Amino acid sequence: MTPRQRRLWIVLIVAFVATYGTTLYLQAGLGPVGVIVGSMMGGMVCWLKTTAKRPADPRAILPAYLLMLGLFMVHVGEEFLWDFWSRISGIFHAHWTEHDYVLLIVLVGPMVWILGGIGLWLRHPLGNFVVWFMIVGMILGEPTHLLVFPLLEGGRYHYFPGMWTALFPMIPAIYAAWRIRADHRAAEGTPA
Amino acid sequence: MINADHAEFGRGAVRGAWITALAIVTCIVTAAAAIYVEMGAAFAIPLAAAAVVALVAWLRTTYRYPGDPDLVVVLYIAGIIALIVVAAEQWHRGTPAFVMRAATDWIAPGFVFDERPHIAMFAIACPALFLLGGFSLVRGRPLGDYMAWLLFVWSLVAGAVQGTVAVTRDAGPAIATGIAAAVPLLCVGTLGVRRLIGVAGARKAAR
Repeated sequence: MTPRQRRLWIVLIVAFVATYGTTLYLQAGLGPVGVIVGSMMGGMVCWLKTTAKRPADPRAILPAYLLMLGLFMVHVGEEFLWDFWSRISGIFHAHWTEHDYVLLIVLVGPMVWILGGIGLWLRHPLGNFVVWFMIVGMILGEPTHLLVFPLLEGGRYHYFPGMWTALFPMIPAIYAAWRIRADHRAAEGTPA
Repeated sequence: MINADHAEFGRGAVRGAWITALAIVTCIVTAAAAIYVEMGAAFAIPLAAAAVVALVAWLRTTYRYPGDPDLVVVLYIAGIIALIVVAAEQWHRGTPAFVMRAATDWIAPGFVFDERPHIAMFAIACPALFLLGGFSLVRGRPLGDYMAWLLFVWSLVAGAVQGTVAVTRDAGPAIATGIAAAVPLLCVGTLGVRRLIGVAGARKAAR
């Protein structure tokens, strides 16, 4: 990828992050935006440092990515069945409805994330960015279900929707991050 | 990429593949019974029919002649997205309520098919199942070969159901929207089935 192409992709990604982040902020408040937009920006930094220069090896990463997405959809299922949106609305004083949650997190989000798998397979820059966004999101965002959200509600440590399944997508995510970084270092000629 | 086990074994395919087949049969029977009891025949019949057709097709093709999973990976992932697109259209257009009205006699007593079970089943559980199956497919495992058959057969079934629902449920321009959502599924299903038959056929001819 040429520097000009890279700059164009960065502009496109930042525009997407701003649009998605604004929509989510209007619906769900600052908390989910911090997690998701933070993951997107973190993913962009990781992407720029690694797979923007040399796309990830799809044979090595796609199995882990699909496993991660599958486990994440199970986690979304737990959130959906136990009304995640209403609890988040309570914490952040927002008005996140079931309709908004289904639209953004259950329908549109997965379409983009799964499409990222095709992008990864075809070594497309956008696919490689989406993969990094999801990896960062799983590693940094998912633990909030156990470490942050229950505490923000106050009182005794208790169940928060999604907490039983939040950590499992981290396993393939950590493997994928390690593998991409190792492959990148090997390709750059430095020890992994 | 052809799995080393695939290359090593001839007819009868991968070592231990029969255990996978046995596990799949067990899952189909159990899931069909559970869906029939909890949700009714309106859901159990199409799901079980697709699973059985996929099983027979798999046993006759990529079970015996496992091919290169790379050839179907993009179609497989596109199929999962197409399933979510149809679920989104059905959610937006209030299809669950229509199904409840149209198939009352075929729904289990006490089960209410509204937005929540619809989203949980068709927009969350179904994609999750196929994503986990995609892991096996890309790794060249027998379970992945079956999941590919299941996804493509289910795409054809779900696409046909979606088209039928659109024609009977909607009027005017809304029919076009409903049918437009079904078209990607039907295309992916048709191309996928053709590709899987071709993969197994090429493998068989090479032996």
